[in-house]
Amino acid sequence: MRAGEASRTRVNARFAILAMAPAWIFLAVLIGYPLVTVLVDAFTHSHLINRTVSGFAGIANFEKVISDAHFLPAVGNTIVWTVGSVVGEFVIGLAAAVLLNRRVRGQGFFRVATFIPWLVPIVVAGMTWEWMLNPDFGIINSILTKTGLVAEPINFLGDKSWAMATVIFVNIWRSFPYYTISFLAAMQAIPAELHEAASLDGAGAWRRFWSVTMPQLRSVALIIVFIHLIWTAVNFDFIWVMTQGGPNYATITLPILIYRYSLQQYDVGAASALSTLMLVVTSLIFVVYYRVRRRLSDEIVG
Amino acid sequence: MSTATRRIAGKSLTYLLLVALCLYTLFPFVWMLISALKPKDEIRARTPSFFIHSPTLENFVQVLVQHDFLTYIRNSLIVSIAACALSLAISLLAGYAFSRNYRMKAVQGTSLAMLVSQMIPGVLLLVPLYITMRNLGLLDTYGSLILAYTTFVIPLSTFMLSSAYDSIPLSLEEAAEIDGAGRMRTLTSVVIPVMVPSIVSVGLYSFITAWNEFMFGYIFISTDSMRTITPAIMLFKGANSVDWGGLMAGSVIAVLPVALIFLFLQKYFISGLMSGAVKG
Amino acid sequence: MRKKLLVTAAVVSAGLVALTLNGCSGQSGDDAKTIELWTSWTEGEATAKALDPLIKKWADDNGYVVHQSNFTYDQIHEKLIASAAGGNLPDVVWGLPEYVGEFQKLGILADVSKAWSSWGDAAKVSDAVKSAMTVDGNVVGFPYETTVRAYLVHDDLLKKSNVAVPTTWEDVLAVGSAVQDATDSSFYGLTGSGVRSPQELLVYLAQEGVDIADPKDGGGYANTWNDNPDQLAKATEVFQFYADLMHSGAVSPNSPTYGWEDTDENFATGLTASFVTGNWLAERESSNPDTMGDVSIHPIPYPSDGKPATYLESKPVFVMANSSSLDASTQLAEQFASEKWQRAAFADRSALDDVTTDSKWTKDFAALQDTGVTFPPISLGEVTQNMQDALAMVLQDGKSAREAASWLGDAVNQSLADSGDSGN
Repeated sequence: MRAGEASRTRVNARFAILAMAPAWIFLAVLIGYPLVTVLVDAFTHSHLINRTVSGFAGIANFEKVISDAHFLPAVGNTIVWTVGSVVGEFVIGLAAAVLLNRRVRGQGFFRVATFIPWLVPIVVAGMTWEWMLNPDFGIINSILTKTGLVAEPINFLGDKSWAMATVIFVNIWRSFPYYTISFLAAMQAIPAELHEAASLDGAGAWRRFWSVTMPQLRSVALIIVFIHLIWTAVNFDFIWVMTQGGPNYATITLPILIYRYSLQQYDVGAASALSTLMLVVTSLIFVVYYRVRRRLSDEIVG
Repeated sequence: MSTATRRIAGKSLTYLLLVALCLYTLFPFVWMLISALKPKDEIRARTPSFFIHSPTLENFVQVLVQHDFLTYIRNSLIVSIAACALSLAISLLAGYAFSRNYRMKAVQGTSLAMLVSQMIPGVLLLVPLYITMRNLGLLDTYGSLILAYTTFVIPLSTFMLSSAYDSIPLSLEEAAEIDGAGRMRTLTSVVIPVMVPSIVSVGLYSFITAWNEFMFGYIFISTDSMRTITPAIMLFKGANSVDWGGLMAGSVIAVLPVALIFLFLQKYFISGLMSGAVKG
Repeated sequence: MRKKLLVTAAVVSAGLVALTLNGCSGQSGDDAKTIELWTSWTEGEATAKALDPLIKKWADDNGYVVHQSNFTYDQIHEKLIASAAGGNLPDVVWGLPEYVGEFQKLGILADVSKAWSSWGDAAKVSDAVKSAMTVDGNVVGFPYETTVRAYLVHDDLLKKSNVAVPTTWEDVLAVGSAVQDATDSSFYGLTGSGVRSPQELLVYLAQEGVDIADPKDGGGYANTWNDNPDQLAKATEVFQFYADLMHSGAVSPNSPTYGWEDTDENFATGLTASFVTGNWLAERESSNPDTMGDVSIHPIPYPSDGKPATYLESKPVFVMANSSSLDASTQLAEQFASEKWQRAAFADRSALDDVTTDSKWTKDFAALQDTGVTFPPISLGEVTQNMQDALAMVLQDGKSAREAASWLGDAVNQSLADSGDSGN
């Protein structure tokens, strides 16, 4: 290594540290304290309002959480909810990005229209969907029965067999625009010459998509998918607004359990313990993400 | 099939699919809009319908005049734009490090820290963040919301921007450096201009996250004149009744500014706009 | 060169941050002459319009500045918890009766018993209302809104089905699907989930003479069903009533998952012919004129071997214990419950026996106040969840009424232990 290169590496490292410093400050000040609180509370007897409850709990909170009758169903539901949502969001998001990338008349309008679900605040979107899906006076059931597609109105959110699929459907509606925007942005970075070269080679549109576009989207896709896996797993608002974890626990997920421990039972210790468990699992997912990303980066930056 | 026919078929299919997509995304919003235009005795009728017997603007008027919505929009704009700008600045720097120095232990550690920060459920952030803002003396100020929202969006912004940096070849930077530009100069004048679509998409994400945020909006802010728009909309949901007209009108009003901003910005997603600069 | 740039950037951003952090503040701090008031009214509605000038006048007359902010009750609840933890409580807060037990445990409520005993209107308030805001022997609030539930009936629908207004459970069950068959509307409304369902269950239990938790000698509360076969049998009757309602066709098959939004809506639109609910439905007369024109108000059906009862919801306005202007805050709180303010803003939902309107929505409801029951002053978060779960056992899982009752007894005791309400 030449002398210049060695000092360049050192300067690289120093710059990197300085570049990350502002982010670190924000995270440390605003997330550091809550994070430490959560980790400490997980091992403490902690009650939100009952001051007499205190002291080191060892793994008692974890035991309570894992032996909760709703724990395993919540784990199952969380997995279904997360994977179902992310897969749906990815497919529709990517398809929408491809469609919106093509030059068509009214492109601007279509893009804004696709974007709208993301703009509506979750609570409002939840309430509106709940209203539309209502079996007695919701517009969707009204349309379904009037056109004869179904004989009886479907109690989308109140029927155990429909509830989870329905909340996933609404979640996909809400979240896929983000994928679309990100894919659209990434598609702009693909040099036009790559497409030209491929079509000169006789590749049709479909083939070009797979061999030119998709590989370039890998990096973005990886991040979006992983981040959404985490967000969806932690997501609480949608299900809470529409079903509160019901009907009769059919849509209960781990974040809802955490909410109930914290604000219904006031058991902060249990809430923190469950949260810590989720944190550990995410970190494991992160390790996987990091491995894949490193491989990707090695290919790109070299 | 001749190429011309194929092209027409392709275009028609595209249009068809786009229309179907629009139906899917716009259906609830259209329902919201129509409901907002219905008078009180039509909104919650026994049989729901898209048809309005006597359309009215009274819900919108009520929301804008009686409920101070313009103030709330102003507050949300200030907070969201500030959070967006601040987080972009921070993430552009951190994302660069993530992309170019991914092997560094410090980078991996920061990556993990950012991801972990996304895993803390809001309900467990409630009390600690409140105490923090109290200690910083920021309760009931724009600052509390700006800082909180910035922190929430930094992780994803950083990851997304680092991925955008990934698609910019090192050769671009090296060329600039040979010309004598310092690292910051290279970043600001050569690299970042090429990343505009990604910056726009990340900026939009931060803005919308801040705009739509609900819980900390009412936890940190107690004064009506400082209130942001989403907590204000939720006030229409009362203890025993919901003012659906107001709720729908308020929501439509909340969506419009952002939709307009996006309409303006979406032209940055035009293919070919930037690809020329990446050549060579 | 680079260093200079970085330093400049750092200084500029620090400046920007400082500017933003200090920009535009709201509250003016813990000024002894300032009172922080949190309400939960509907902006622009009659109540808010009436109270605004009254509050201002009181503030001027007494030399105080009142900062009033409006929130939903859920928001108030979470803000109070955060404020309690952060040591930044307001002075006067509109509350819900459910909060009495838990806020007392948080130690944030001021004891206003003394103010109550010298309060001029105190004699006009019923004992039931007073005890709804009494915990550990202390009175912790003034009643600003007091309502009960009643049995609302669409006379036209019942006439069309040739059904008389039921007065007992047996009457209700006997109707079966008669109304459904004749009119396409279900007969009786039932809230199976959400915040309203434990309130309904509480009333039915009270009608059979059982409580969800009884005070123990020496402090604390406990559920005694599983120790007392008589009580268990009565509780079982209640759950059996729910099950029978489902089987008889008198209620909609979707009832198990209905929340108050659905059931109120169903009654207002005529989808349900009769329902137990509150007098806030009065406003639906203007939004649903064709279906709400025929409403008559009756006592809630009770079992023929039981007694009448209804749910008494008496909302207390709280004063925070460490308010820097405790006396003035207490005075302000008292104002909300005073005759003048009640007449001006709460005429149709007042705890004072001489404040009322001529409308059936006030009179017929007020007539039922004597039979009103409330939850005991315990932490309700988990207990109400247990009650909903027990209902689900019967309505959704097909479990027996006895199983549900027995399970609920144990679950409530567990919850009481967890929240520190079981004494000793």
